[in-house]
Amino acid sequence: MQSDPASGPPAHDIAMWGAPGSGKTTLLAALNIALMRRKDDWKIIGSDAASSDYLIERTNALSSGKIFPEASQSLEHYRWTLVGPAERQERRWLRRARPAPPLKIGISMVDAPGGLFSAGPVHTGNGSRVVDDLRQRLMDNLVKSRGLVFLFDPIREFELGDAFDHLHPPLTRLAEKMLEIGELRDGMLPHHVAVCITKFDDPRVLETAEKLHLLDSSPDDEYGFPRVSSEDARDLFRALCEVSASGNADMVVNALDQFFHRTRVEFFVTSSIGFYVRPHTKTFDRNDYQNLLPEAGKELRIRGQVHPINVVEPMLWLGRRLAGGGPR
Amino acid sequence: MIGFEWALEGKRPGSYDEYGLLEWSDGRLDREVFDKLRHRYAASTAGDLPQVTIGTARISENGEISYYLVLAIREWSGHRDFANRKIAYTRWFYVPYEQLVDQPVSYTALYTAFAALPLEPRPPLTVAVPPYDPEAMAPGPDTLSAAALLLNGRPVCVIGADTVPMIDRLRFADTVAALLPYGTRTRFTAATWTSSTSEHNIKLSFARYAPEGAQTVVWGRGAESVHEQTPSKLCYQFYTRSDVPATEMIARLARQAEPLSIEKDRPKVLQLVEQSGSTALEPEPEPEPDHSPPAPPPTLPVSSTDTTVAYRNGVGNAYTEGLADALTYAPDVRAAVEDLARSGTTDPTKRQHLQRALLQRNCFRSVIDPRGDADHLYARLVDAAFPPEEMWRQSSQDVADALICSPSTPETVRRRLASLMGTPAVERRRTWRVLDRRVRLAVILTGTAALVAVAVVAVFLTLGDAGEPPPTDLSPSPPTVIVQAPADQRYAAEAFAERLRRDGYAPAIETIDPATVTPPAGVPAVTIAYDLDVLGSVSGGQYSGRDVRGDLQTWGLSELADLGVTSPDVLLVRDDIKPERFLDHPGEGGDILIRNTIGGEQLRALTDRGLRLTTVPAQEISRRLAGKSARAAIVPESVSAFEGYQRPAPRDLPLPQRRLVVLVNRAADEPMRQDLLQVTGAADLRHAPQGDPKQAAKALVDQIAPVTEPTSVEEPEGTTSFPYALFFVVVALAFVAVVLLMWRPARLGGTLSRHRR
Repeated sequence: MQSDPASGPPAHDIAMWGAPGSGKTTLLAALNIALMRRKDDWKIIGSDAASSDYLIERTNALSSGKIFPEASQSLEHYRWTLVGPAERQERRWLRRARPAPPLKIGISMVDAPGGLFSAGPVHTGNGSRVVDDLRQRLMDNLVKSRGLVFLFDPIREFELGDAFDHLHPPLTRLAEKMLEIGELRDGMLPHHVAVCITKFDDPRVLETAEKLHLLDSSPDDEYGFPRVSSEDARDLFRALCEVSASGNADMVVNALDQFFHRTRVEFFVTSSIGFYVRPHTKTFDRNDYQNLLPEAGKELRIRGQVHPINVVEPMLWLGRRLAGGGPR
Repeated sequence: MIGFEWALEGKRPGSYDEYGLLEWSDGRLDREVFDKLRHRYAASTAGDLPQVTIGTARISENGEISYYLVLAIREWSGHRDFANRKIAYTRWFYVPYEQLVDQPVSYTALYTAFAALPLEPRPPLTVAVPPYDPEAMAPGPDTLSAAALLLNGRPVCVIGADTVPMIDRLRFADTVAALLPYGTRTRFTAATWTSSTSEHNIKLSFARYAPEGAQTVVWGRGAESVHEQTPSKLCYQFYTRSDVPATEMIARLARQAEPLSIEKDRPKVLQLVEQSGSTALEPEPEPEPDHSPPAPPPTLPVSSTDTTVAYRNGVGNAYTEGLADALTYAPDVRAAVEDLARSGTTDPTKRQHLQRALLQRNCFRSVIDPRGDADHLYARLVDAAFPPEEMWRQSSQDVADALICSPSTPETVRRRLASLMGTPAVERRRTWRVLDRRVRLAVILTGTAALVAVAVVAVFLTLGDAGEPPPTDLSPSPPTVIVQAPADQRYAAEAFAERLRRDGYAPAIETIDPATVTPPAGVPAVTIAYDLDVLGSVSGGQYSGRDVRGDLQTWGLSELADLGVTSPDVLLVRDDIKPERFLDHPGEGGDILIRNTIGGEQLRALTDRGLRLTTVPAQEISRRLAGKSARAAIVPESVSAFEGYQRPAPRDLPLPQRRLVVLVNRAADEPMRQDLLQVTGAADLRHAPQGDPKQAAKALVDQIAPVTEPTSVEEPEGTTSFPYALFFVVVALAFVAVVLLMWRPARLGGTLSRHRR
């Protein structure tokens, strides 16, 4: 938001989408930690001072203070650049291979209060619909963006079941706007959507994945954390939808399929804080993995170190798709 | 008493919902309005609370528009939502503007009044708000810059105030608003804090970084950017060249209550600011519009006593104003335009009146625009008001600038003025192009002659000074400032004094008894005092934990800084008695002594915990502790050094907290306040370093305002080379100036002729 943003690659507009408390802001707060825990040289840099500050403050709050961010109450706009490792070019004839410049993906991220995605108050004045200012600004941002991070909170869905209520109304309005400005492609919205199934560290989610035999573990992972691959994530999503409190969660998948091209939707099973790791064993313990122990009436505190799972991957997937034009 | 409506925004404890309206008053405004406004002013996520947002609402009811001032106070609720996140409450208050037209109030006063109300106020929905006090406003370079920059039509963001208490940021916004006509409060929006990454449309905000497109003001400093655009430049000049004291100017502006938009009514706002700073008659409060035809213009006065600086200080000439009024209703517009144009051609003063009339009345576009010969009539008026040979005058350029900038100015006039100013852009370049060759030559020759004369005089003066004793310093003696502090706050007092000394003040430190503070009146004074109960004693009361800022104001005092909790009171129990007898089995050990200046709430908190207390004067407690006749007592830590007493520290005992506050009186000017704030912001004054407090204070001030040694070149005694050097330098400068001036007009002449072709 500064007047003097650092020069960088063109920023791709990405919007966070999800119900209140689904973990949008926490996922962003964990982004820097997630990148620093990786060993592939990807890093995130603020493109302006305020966005840099956010990364610093949230990283400190989550890793040292172990404090979750407060709920957003206005549209927050962050500008970051994901900088990847330099790729070596192939050697040709007698020429020496030279390192190519590192891949840079500009991200212009909008984080909105989850309540704005609900049907919300639509005022009727003089026969015309008047959407309140904040919803209007959110819609403008969604129209402008080409990448969406949709957060599906299985715990909230199990207890409340309102994911569809927070997806369908704005999706319909977005489609209406895109049709109006001629931006529908083959009758579909042009956005790429990273669907993040959050709170993988919650026993109910992990156990569901385990029952469906979807758990996997990367041999490169020194902690041996369980994971669900992107290919299997859609199946977990469907399974979690079946226990929705409202029974409407299956319509979330259908709505995504209706409005977005299948090749532009990818599923990720994520956890912003990850699993608890005992300091002395430094490995995942199936009998003691909860990193967030509920303490009624007190500020949510994280038990051990933060090990975000699949937090960077949706951003990199979106960034690469948007930078490369992506499959049509 | 001021009537209001209210709404409460938040979440229910444990709620899954997003923030929304929880309760609201059942008045003229309905939920839809409340809902819309809270979204409009959403500008920050939770941070340090409380924070205040100032907004406005314009409600159309049966074709009539009513304005509301909106004040939102955001604070933590103490509850948590389903995700265990802290819930903030935003308390919205809506004050009908019509009530404030005759009894203006400040935003700070409104905040103080509303903050004391319960979460859900019950009828009657009225609140007592102290009347507007221009003397409480202390405009500094930063507030003046912010107010002037608002005139450019873009938001202003104040940075560098991260550590400044919220109440001071609110006072800043209050002062900025006070520097504009009161009627602009129907459109004025401000927030004491905004997230640097949030999108919002608040006009005056505080943030760590200024958002894109906003004009930046650094806390405590003037903004150079005020000079970059005409509206802010003009406004800033009106402030800094005001003929009346700032408080008088603010009082006059407070009487201008006609609803105004800072952007759309910019010429009017500028005019009111200018007039409020003028020694001439202050602007009359706007009367109800009168649509009856005006009386015929008065006869032309034989001699005019009007000022020759037309745009500034002018309140309009009766004759020109009469003609201008007549034009508005004239059956023959063309003839009326001609009359008005002719009135401006008699002399420069009348011309400036005509310029003012064009600016104030939007070039009469309501009358002229519908006509077929509009372009011709506009041209006639512009040619009469702005003849090219008069465009060198600063006042003409300023009015032309203001007209070019105003969105109400007809395009024909704007184009014509831009062409006269020699640039198609809004910003003009000051050149000599409007002067003809003879005038230029005359100015060059006169200037050269003046320079040579100055050089010769300088030589003689310098020769005459050689060998003479240095002249006596006739500069006024530095203003005295009294720094009052209790004996144990010597370090803070010395730090303030040292900082003020380096800024040209003459500080005098007075040691005071913290229990009987008497801040001096009339002379600038800063008082370091313990706690609000001391301040309460200033107003004759006892500490009750309530906000006494309003009381302080009546004493001409304001709280400049809160240095935080310095020490809690401590419980002393005689060594031969077990503390449990007082804490766990009250009554067994007898009563605990506590000073009688303690307030009821604090006493209640301690007695609720089970303690048995006896209130006695502080001196009596000290006497009995010294004589070991007191079995137990609660005393301030600073006076707790008594032999033979232990200090049990039960964790849940609500012992009174003592804070250190810094007060200033009305005589303290803004630079002085800034100096003091610099000190409070630079160090934790609660903890004095070891050693001499004076030396420690000097070391501290060295870090924030190092002394810069003036550089001077010593001239050997008895030599006379310096006067000759001065002479040669001045003559050389004069020669260069002549060469430049001779060259420049020729070049500009070429430009001008090309332009005219």
